[in-house]
Amino acid sequence: MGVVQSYPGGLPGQEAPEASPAFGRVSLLRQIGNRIGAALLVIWLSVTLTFVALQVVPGDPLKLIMGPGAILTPQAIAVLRQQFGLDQPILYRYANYFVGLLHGDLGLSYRSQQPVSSLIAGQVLPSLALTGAALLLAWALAVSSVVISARRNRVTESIGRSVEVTLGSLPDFWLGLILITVFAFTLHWFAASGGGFLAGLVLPAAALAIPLAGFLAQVMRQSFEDALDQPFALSARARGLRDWRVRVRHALPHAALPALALSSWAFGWLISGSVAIEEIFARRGLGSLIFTAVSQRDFPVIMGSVVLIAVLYVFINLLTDVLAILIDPRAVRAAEGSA
Amino acid sequence: MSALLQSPPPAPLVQVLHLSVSFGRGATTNAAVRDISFTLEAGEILALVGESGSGKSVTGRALLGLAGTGARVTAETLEIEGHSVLGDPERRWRARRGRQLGLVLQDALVSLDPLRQVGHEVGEVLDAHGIGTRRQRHGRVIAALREAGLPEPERRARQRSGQLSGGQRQRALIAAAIAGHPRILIADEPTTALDSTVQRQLLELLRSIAAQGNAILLITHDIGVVNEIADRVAVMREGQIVESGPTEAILGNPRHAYTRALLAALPAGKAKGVRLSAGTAVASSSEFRHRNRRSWESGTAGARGGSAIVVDRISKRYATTGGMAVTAIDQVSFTVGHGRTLGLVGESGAGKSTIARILLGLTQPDSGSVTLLGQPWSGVTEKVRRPLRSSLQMIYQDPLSSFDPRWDVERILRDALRAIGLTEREAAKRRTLQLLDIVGLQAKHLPAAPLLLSGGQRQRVAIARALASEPAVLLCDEPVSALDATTQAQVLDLLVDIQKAFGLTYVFISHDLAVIHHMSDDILVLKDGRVVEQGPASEVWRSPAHPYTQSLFASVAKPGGFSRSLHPEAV
Repeated sequence: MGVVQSYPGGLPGQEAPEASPAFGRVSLLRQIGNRIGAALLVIWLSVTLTFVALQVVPGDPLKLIMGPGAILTPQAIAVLRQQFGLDQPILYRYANYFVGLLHGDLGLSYRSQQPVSSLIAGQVLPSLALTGAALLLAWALAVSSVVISARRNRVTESIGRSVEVTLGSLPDFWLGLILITVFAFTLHWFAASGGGFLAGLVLPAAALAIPLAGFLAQVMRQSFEDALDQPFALSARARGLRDWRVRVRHALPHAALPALALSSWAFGWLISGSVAIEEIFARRGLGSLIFTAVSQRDFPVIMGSVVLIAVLYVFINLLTDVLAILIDPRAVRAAEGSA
Repeated sequence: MSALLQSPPPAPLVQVLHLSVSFGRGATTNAAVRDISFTLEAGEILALVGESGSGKSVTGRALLGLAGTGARVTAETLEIEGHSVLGDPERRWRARRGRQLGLVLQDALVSLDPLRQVGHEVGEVLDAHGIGTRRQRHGRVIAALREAGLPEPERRARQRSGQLSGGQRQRALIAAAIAGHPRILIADEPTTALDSTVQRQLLELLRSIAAQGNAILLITHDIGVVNEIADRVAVMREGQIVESGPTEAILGNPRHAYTRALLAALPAGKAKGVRLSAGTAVASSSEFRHRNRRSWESGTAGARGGSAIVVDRISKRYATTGGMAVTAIDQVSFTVGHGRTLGLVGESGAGKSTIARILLGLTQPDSGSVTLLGQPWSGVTEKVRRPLRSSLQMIYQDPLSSFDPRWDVERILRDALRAIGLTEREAAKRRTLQLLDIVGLQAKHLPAAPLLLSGGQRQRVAIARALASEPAVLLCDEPVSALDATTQAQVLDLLVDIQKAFGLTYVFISHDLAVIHHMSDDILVLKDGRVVEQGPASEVWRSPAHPYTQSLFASVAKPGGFSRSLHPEAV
């Protein structure tokens, strides 16, 4: 449900019907309802799919719980099975998980026997800080590159373009290693790991942001150039507006819309990217939590993380949609039409 | 202002001597404007008239220092309000824009930034030049919108481009141009996309702006508009001014051959049968008829006698998203005899498109019936309709969007032939060439992509494609509205020739009354989905009975030369 951007040719008789205020409110309410429904669906689907996937994975959960070397008596096995609810039929466990979910109970970790919710809670903040910083940095880089280099002379333009393509194709984990080597080991500007909340954020956020920036900039550049070619840009210049204000005020909002639609996708991309980045920079976070949980087959932790990421993803989606509507109120109507 | 009155020498607001604008360098230099000279006095409207590509828009933009990237502008004199502006740095140009010169572009959804409120767009000129406080700027925005004749300026200022009608948007564009009180307005096709009544109102507005002592450079391809409001006119062709002088003299007694061709191309007041374009009528040669007629007759002869189209009291209502129903057309009836042309006229929203969709069988009427070539056409299944489909074809205003951009002309025509089952290679090739011949194109156009063809050539390809299935009825939806006057004349002549040669029946939809009158045997005037007047073209044209038709026709240049219907004194 991205933001549709179009430049209709302005043919006579193709005007948008005027929406009355009441009509607008009804459509907005209905849309909010639709959104909440869609959000619940996304969360339900991701939980179910993960649940099914984990059931299909080979291996007895009990062996995983106790570790590969553990030797247990049949009585102990029976007790443990009962304790973790593994003696119940699958559908019962599935339903049970949802009941727990509704109460905010994500179960116990197989490994540490701690509640999953408290395990995750400790990792959420560093993760959000990392992805948030990466997203903001990516936007800042992409916007600067496009505003500075789009529709200038041929040399500037092709430099901007090739830099964006190059950055967009860099793998983040490789970039992370390079950044550590250059800025931590050689220049000693930043610590390779740790080093305070902000200072410790710079290198890992940059490693995630730079490829994303290249990607976002390529998307923005097209719309930015299209907007600069539109009659309204010429009108603005004819009013005596400076070039950079034409760019920032008129072209940038048009370019921001597709990039915004992409940003909710980018959030998911950043979370998966952070798995490697958090390992490289020895950071705490959801990425490393999931990484450990997957390698230890700690199913409740995996499930809990998936639920949390699904919720965050849905929330970010909502946020980008709201931002898009703030930039372009027509998006309400467009979304209404496609709903 | 009062201080200025003491200096009597009345220098023209704009003085241009030997202006040239070229793009590119070396061998690829393209001279867009070549050595033109003109002046623009206070209180006067000078029209630059010419076809697209004649350099008129570039001229207007050169006055703003916005000729474009890579433009080389040279002139002996280029003075604005008495000051030479040649070689001025960008900073000086910027200070001038919006305060000394305002630009009014053709209405389009994107002539105003669709993401910004109209008030912000109008006030941008004040903002850019740092004029006034926020409150004062807002006051000036509302005043400018009011001066431009936009009702409810406070409410409109908060809306966005997409929420305004075409006429309102054009008024907002004018408001934006005059908000900074410039004395020179450059209006580039300011009324082209508008209905005739709205067009007339806006021309009156421009007239009154000029009457306040401002000067307007009106850039247009529409001689009718020139006739309506310009004091003087300069005819441009290929970057040069070929003729200039007072409007009456130029239009009443054109001396240059090109001006004469432009005037001859005007369909206004010319009844059916009068040729608009120079050159021989391709289809009127007997050889042409002999060559092309035979294949046709077999297809349509059986249906002769009676009417080609009978529309009986059709109505159509649409439900809107808000749950309300809008009546698109209400109890519309008409018949079109074989080989005749019915002209459908009406402004935006009159129901022309709905009728076209029903005639095409894409929409079903809620009530009433349509009969095509003696067979029921509405209320039947697509299976019943399909055998008749090939006898009904359509051409559109913008043929480009109806072509696959990756196809060349040959493939477009081949595809149309395949649709009627002509797949044998040699026969298809022969037929393709024949179709091109009918529409006045040659074999050399076969490998061309539509994107690289001119507007007129594209429309010819669209006509050839429509003719591929040897239809009996051709639905023409604004087929020449996007074309220059002389190209329009050629395409209209071609359509007349084709009709004569093959006995086609036309339903001709247009908002341009002159075109409708020129093409039609009968005219149907639509307003709000209802037929307000119906009759033979010459009668409706000469003495329209319904007040609405009268008001429509009042804004069209009438036959008998150019009697100015809108005098400056009258405003």
